[in-house]
Amino acid sequence: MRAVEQVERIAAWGAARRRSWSEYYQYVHRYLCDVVRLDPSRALSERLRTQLSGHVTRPFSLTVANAPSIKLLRDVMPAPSAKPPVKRPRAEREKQPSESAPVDVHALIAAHVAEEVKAGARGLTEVTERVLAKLPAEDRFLAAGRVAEALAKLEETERERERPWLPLSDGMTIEEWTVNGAITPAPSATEQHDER
Amino acid sequence: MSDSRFLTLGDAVEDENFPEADLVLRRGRHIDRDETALYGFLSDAADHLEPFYRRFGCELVHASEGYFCLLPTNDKLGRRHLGVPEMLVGQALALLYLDPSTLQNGGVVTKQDALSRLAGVTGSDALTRPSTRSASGWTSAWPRSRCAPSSARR
Repeated sequence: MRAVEQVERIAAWGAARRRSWSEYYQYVHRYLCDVVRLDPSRALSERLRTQLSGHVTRPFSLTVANAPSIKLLRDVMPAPSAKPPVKRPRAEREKQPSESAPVDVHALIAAHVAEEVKAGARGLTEVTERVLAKLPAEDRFLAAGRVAEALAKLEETERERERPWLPLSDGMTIEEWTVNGAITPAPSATEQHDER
Repeated sequence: MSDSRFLTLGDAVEDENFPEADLVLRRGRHIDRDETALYGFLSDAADHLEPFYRRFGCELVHASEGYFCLLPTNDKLGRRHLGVPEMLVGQALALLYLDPSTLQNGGVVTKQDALSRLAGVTGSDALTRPSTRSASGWTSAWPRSRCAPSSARR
């Protein structure tokens, strides 16, 4: 195996040397034709030397063709990486105002409280629980205090020396009051709405 | 013309070497004997191509030193003048080619050889004279009137 490789290597080296020698032979042959035969007195070399040394004082230059390349216009294409601008369909974003009756939250809660008291509720916890059940979940925390305010205006309440705090179903805890009896009959929610 | 392998200009234009030879010539390059295919094509088609290029205002020159080039005679095709550095380097290489000592290296000339020969002939001061490159090519800091083309001087 090594002998074969050695023979191939020697063959490649021999071919390269032969090619190199051939090129050198051709070059020398051309040199003999161009220089030795055509310019035996080396007049051309001397002329070149004179031109080079006098180029500063008597410069000259050759003229060569310089045709510009043909320009082909291409179709304008958007860049592939360019993302389309963010758009959304045209529409009327402004909503027209509509007329609606104002809601008096205090009066509404007072009416609910009066209804529950009339229905038999006798403690702040019980009244609050029933009233809050009629209201949306997001309004219940705010309405809990207003229920106590409405009940205090509507009924006479009684507080024990020890004030118990009772939990509501919504996770709130309130102080318990006991309602003694009706003092001022409060209008119902429907009646208050009619008055407005 | 009788020994040409092309009977008409159309035959020459249809040859596979015509596009490359035409582009190279129009860009101002010389085609010498080392470019065997193009030089052989031009040698065979010269009789047809000379009148062809004459219509573009150029002469297809076949020099006895063994090269082809286009020599513009008017501005139909576009032309330019070689700059001072190009002229100096070209003449220095020609001088080195004529030097018998170059034979020892088989005609191979290094950059250092060319610069040394140039400095030896023109002098270091002339060689280091500042040259600037403009949009249209190399220009020298030498007076512009001296760099005028030979046709203008005539």
